[in-house]
Amino acid sequence: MSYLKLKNVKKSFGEIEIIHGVDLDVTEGEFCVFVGPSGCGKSTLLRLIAGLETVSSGSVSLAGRDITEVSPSQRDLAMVFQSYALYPHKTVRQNLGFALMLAKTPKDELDRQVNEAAEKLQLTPLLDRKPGELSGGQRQRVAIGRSIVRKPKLFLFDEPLSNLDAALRVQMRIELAQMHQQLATTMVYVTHDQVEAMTLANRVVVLRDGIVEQQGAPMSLYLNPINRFVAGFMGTPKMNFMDASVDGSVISAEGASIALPAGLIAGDVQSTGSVGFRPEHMEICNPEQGLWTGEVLVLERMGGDAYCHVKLASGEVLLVRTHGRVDTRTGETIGIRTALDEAHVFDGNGSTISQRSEGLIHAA
Amino acid sequence: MSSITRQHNIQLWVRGIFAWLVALILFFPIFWMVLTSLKTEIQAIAVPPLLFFEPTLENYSIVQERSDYFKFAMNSIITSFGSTFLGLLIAVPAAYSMAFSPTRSTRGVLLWMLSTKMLPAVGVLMPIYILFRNLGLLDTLTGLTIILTLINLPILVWMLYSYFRDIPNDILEAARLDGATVGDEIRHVVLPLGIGGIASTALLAIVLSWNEAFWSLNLTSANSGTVAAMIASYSSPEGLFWAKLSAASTLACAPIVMLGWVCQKQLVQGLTFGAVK
Repeated sequence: MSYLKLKNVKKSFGEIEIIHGVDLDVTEGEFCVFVGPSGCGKSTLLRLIAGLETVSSGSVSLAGRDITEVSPSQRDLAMVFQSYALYPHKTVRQNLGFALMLAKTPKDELDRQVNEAAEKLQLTPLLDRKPGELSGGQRQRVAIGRSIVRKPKLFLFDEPLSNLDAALRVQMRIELAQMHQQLATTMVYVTHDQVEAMTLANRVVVLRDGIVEQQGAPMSLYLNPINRFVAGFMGTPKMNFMDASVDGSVISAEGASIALPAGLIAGDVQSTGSVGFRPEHMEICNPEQGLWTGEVLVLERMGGDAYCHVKLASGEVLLVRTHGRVDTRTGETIGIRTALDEAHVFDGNGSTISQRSEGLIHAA
Repeated sequence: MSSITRQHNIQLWVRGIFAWLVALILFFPIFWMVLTSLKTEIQAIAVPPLLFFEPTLENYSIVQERSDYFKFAMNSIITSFGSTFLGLLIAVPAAYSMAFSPTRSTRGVLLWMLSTKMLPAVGVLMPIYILFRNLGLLDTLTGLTIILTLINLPILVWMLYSYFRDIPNDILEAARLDGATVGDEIRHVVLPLGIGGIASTALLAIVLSWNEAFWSLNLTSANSGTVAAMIASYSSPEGLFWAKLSAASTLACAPIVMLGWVCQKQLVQGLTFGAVK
């Protein structure tokens, strides 16, 4: 049963159509993340759900009620803004209680709910401060607190973590995940950061130029991206792509002929397209053992891992994730090999023609 | 002391001296006006001008006696405060809608409003005069208040517009999602956040109305004359009475200078708005 439903939603600003007909079904309690490069329309889509922009055509319904024409104040949803958008002239307490005050909630009930939310987010000692006196992380908490106090039907998040520093972002990400488990409310979350999308979502919606490219569970998008765009967008570091010709289950790319495991490509395909391997599925080796050989351009040591940028004879640069203590040096000639069952094969249009099982593996 | 700090200090000194010089030049006419108002008429026209003399308040009592200063001052207060209040009543909603729901023509409307201020007032004196005569508004406080409201309206809208523009739209949207109606939004968000801007705008409007001379001189006489009209009555026809003219001018300026002084901070903030953030 779908809870939030978008039906062929389109949005134009003047002559220019930004959202080209989006269909979406979010079930109750789901954590849905819109992800895509900047300008893909993900924030606009969120604002359409919020009612801050009006849809040009199509419909939006929430919990069985058509809200396409309903004003934002009557939609019963809460939104956390990228800028936090706290009321600077009100104290934290008044910020948290503003919606309840507008709804004419009795004073003691209002106080009880504000205190409860403040407790949950460790804001109790800050209740009498103004937003200007808070740190970025604290403001973020108040913004979240303001939305949970009202117990809305739907939470909307517009890139809520992008103004925080890296350490705090990771911490808040975990808190958001926990919050979603506790509240079990439906959430729609916009981000350009695919790590946030992978870690937080039950359902990821990848958008490009106002079109939904693919939607599904995060691991499903990682394992079986439907095209080169999604394949390149999901996963860090980015997938390596090479031009390739496909002949049945044999592909040739960059001078190497590779026999893929049976069943990875269904049917007998003859095509010129490309193949992709994720950096985590490749490894460096002796030149004579590699499928490809190349020269190490840069070695980025992250500590546990190292990212090795290898330039092939053709000029193509591949990124390989390897061990942090690897003794490779810049300028050295090395070989690269790859896990063949992790190949992503695309036809000439960039659509995926390989398919793998999405079953999870039991930890040993 | 390093040479950089020394250089910096010299720069500060030069700037300080320069600032004082400019301030003194600007202040001198006011100083001279007040000084002259305390002289007798003979002393006032003495050559070379007198700097030291026995001050007298005679001119002030003559001015009050002859032209009832308090009546003119009251007219000034009524028209400047009245026109400011009316102006805000129109300008706040106008600026709100332009700042928060701009359309393609918002920019044009703003420029068009300002362009009316570029027209020489005397160009529309005739039509306005005839309109006022036919409507029976000549020499009435109502008439003057209306005209002052209208001439200051573009400036009010412009100033409020730039203040309101500084309120992040996100905050208003957050309020909307919190369930606020347009009324709630204005009352709980726009007014509290814009109150500084509204106050500076009001102050400027009061000052402009108070000092306005063209329309007060042309549309009023004995009944609804403002202090500007009062000063004018001390010039030519009866010969020049410098000391009394100065006393009248001092009286006319005093209230608004006091108001400006009290609200200095607001005013400076208001006038430099947008330039310094």
